[in-house]
Amino acid sequence: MHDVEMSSLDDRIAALEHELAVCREGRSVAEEGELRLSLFLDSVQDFAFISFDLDGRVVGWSRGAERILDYPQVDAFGMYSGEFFTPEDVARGEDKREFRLAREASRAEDERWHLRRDGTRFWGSGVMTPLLDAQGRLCGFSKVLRDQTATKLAEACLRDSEERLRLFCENVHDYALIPVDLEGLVVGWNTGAARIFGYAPEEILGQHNSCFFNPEDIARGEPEQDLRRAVAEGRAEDARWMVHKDGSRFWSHWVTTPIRDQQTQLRGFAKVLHDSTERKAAEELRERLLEKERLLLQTQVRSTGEALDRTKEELRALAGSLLGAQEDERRRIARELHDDLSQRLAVLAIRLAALRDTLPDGPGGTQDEALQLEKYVAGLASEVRRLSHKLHPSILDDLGLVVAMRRLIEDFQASRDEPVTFIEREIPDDIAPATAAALFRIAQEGLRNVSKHAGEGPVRVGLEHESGALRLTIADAGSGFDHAAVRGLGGLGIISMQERAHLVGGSLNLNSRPGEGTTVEVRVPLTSDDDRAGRRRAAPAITKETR
Amino acid sequence: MTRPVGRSRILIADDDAPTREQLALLLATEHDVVALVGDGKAAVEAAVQLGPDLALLDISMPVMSGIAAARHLRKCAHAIKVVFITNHVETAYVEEAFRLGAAGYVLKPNLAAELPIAIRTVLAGGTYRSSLLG
Repeated sequence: MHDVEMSSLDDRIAALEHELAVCREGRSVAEEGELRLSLFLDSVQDFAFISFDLDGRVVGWSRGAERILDYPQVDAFGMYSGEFFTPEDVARGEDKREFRLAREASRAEDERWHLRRDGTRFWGSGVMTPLLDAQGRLCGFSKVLRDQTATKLAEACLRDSEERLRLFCENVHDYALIPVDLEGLVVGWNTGAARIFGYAPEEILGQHNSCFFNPEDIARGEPEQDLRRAVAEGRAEDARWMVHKDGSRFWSHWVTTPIRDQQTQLRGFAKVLHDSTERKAAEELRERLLEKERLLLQTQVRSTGEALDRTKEELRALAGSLLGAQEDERRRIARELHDDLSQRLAVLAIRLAALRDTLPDGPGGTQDEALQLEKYVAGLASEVRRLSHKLHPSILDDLGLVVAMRRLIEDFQASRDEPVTFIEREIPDDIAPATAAALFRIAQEGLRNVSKHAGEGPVRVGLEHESGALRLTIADAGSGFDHAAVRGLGGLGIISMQERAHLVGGSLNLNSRPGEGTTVEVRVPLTSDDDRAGRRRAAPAITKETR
Repeated sequence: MTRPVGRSRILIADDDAPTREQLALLLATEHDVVALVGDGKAAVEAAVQLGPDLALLDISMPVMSGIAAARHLRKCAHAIKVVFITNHVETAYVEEAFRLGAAGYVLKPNLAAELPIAIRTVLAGGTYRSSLLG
């Protein structure tokens, strides 16, 4: 202050005026600052700036406050702070607690539901601070409030979903969901894991996951390979025997997946596994049943095959016995014709000749008539012999295979222009009748095929004796055919030739190509009559009648 | 080759018993019938055992045909003369018969008329061929 004794009143007045001016100026500066602050606060729309007096009544209300709480400034002035709180919070005395905390700790920060003018709620996070005057005395409170509803909801959602996921994981009973870290140590344990493995969380958390593997797999390094494979391939899936806490084993299907954060950094692994022992047992049972069924089927197929083979054998025997019976019957009828009918006709011819001598001679006489009758009878006898031979060539039984074959070839030659040659070498006299008959009939059938299918051209028939077997060949130089193309197409001639060869223990080969002629080759073992009889006994239902 | 006149020993082989009897009766006045058999095999055995001068062989016989029997006799008893008695008039038969060294070939319908002549001819060293053959 100034020394007033030495100055005049004017001076004092002047000094006061000056002081006043300075003060006025200072105040205007302060006012201007205040104005600027107010403008700043109002421009900030995302925050509500509110000031309260010592009673908690609103004395300052920014534009942001208007926007967030929805009260115009005029209405807001004088409102009590608790009016912006939910009734529940007011009932708990939260409004008073905020002021108290601000007074005592210079700061009261919290987040809570607030009420707008229309009663709707928003999640506001706010800080309340005490206002002190120049002397440091409390003169009110200021509060900065922000509407955090959107963030709150997003967080809640996130928390919710995390919680749901946690609950979901924990409550999955059938699957063990086991997170392991980069080292392979167990860092999580759900209900399913506990149920399947038998470990309580505190027993297993922090243990290496190899304790789930059986010792053989551990020795092979499977636990490490599993993680490596998961990293390399994005997942590792397998099925193996795993080990319970008590050491017993169970069959498990499982998948290991790498866990990566948003920056794709590997953070650990998720193992999901399932006790498939029952399923495996069921599958094995099914496999066993299938196998059993397969074996049964195989047995059935085999026995059906055997039955078919038997049927085939029986058919073959039947065919054999039919062929034999046919041959026997033909032989019998042929002999009847030849020995009886033919003989009677011969006697008739002789008697006619004798009768003729006693008849009157002369042109148009009865002797001529008798001669005609004789000729007719002779022709009849020859016809009967021809029929007999056709039915069964007795020549085969009487003169043997070679003579019969020669006669057959001569007859065949008579029907053709091109030469038919017959070459026989070292054929024994005592060929078993069945073998001789088979070869003769095959030759007959073969020549019949030649005249039916091969057309003109030389024909060679060979009968040879080589190393205990007889070889019959019938070769033509005719049109030939594609064996595969005619298989099963009325090839009864070929089949019956094969059957005849088979019946006497032999085989038949047919070689033919279109344009290159056909060769039938038959090979039958040369056995004695006794051997044949032995074979006959073995084969069923083949009867052989001898006269 | 010519034998002294006298009773010759003859073997008869035919599978038909009445025919055998008939033949035996027919020949008994001039010859000794030493054996009557029913098949070629028995004929060979009897011939080897009894050594007849002549064998009358039917051609169509069971077990062994007359032709087959003749083949055997040719090997083991070639001195025995063979006369075939048969119904077969086919050339193949006649040719095969003579090829095997048969001395006679008589057809059955004319046995009574031809057989005594045929046997006499054969025993005298000749061959006889049935007049009924063309």
